[in-house]
Amino acid sequence: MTAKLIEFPTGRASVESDPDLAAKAADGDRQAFAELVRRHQVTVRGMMRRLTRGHEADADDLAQATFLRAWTQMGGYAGGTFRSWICAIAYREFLQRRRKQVSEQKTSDAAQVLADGQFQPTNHGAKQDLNAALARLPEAQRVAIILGVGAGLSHSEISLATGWPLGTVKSHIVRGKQTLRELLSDYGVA
Amino acid sequence: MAIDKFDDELAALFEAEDASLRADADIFERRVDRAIGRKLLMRRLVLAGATMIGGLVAGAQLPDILLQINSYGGFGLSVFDDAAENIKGQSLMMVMIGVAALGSMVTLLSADRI
Repeated sequence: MTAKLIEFPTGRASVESDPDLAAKAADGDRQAFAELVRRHQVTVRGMMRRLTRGHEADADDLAQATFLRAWTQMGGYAGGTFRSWICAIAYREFLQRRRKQVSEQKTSDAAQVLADGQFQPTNHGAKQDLNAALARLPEAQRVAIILGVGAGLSHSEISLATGWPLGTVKSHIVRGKQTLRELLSDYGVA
Repeated sequence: MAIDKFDDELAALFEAEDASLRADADIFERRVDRAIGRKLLMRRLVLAGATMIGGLVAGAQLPDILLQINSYGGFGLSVFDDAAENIKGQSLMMVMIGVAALGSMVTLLSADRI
């Protein structure tokens, strides 16, 4: 039986699993880590763009910081899905950056706080409608939807990443979807 | 609208939005790789500096310090071995100038590599 090749956008192919690549990266193999970045950058960058409500530059800075931290903490990856591990790091990076900006804002009225302003539209159509609808959700529901639907994490993985109880996660997901359905119907998207 | 159908449509909306991120995936990957390269270089330079200061304070011979920098810093460059051999018998000032030049060269080479 031949191993199934996984094709990636760059045209490269790899048969190695995420845990195998992570083990190599933990030993300092930068090529292995580059492959992990290649596989998960869309998830992390997409997650950050939604968490920062469309601030693309901030989102990519946070995504880079996430992968940099993952590189330095690779030895702490103890199995499970790599996606949930990197998304948990990403969420912590986002919270840390936001706390820092809130702290800086106390001494500077001119500072803008991540995810505390209006959504910055970068495109038109359904994409803008989705982000506008997400921006109108309560914080917890928005995070749950972004991690669950956007990043594809399971409820238990969201619970681990956020520290919320499992029941709370499920509740936020259900309520978030209900609200999104109403909002997107208003926009004529869904 | 059935909730199942909405789930599919919502997932499709997210997926469509993420498609644009694949277009500049290579740029982002290189950006992360360069950031890691800079972090590694900084770690090596700090380690090299600490080894140099520690060695001088402890009164170690400069050729030995250079060899230790090469080893602890993970540079793996034969130029360190050559330098260690060549500085034997030189004055301290000449050695320090040589070390500074060597450090600059290694930095430039490493920076170019990343």
